[in-house]
Amino acid sequence: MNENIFSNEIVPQEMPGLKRPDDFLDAKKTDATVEKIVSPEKKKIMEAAREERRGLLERYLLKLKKSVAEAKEAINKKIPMQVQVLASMTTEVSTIVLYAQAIRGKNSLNEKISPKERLLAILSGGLNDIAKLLLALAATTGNAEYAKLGATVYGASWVTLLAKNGREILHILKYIANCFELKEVSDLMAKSEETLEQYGYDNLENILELEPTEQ
Amino acid sequence: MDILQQKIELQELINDLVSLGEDKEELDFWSDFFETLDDEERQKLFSNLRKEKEDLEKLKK
Repeated sequence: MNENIFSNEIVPQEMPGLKRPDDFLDAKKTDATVEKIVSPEKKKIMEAAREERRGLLERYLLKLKKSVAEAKEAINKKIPMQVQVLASMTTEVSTIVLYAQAIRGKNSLNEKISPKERLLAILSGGLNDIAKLLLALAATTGNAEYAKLGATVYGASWVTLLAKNGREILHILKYIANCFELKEVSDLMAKSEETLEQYGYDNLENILELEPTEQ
Repeated sequence: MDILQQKIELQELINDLVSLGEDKEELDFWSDFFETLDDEERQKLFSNLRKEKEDLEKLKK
């Protein structure tokens, strides 16, 4: 694979013992279980198919690199209005995390991961927090619109990175609702602020630990 | 064909290819980020996998 496709910032070029997508495509792969069952004729067919997929992967990564560059530029600007731009990049961010996982042999992301990958992992992991937050909001208000919003922003995992506490998260969610023209949801969330004030905004955990209330 | 149907077909293709001796781990990698591919890339992947399956099945006969 062309070594220039990914910069060192995103994917370390040399990480002994770690698996990269190239390894999956490597015709010289020595996986014993595969070697046992693959005849020379089969191997020839597989190598040709893998070579074609390698080309597809290279083109895909080139496109991805461009998207990442745009996302990085948006993040660096740290402008709230970039939320909408970043949302469109979410799919690519998630893909980078998948890529990072793949090159590490599909193990959980761990301490060996570079700061860049760790950041991407955090971005990805935040997705669950947002989903939980929205579920908590749905439970406390008894309104399914939050769950609907959760589906809309499901990929916007970077939100938690931007949010320092529950209030900010709520504001960001409202902003996203506006971005996606979910006015009903936005209004609903605004109305819920008063309710949420009762429980406090100290941190995300406070909100997540709320018990469902009777409507 | 919607994305769900495409993923079902992709998984069936992967299962078939694995049973024919292809590397499951590599094909699962493609399955992992299939949704992020655009239409053209998906079609190329399908075309690639279908052809490989056909070629491998011909060998069996």
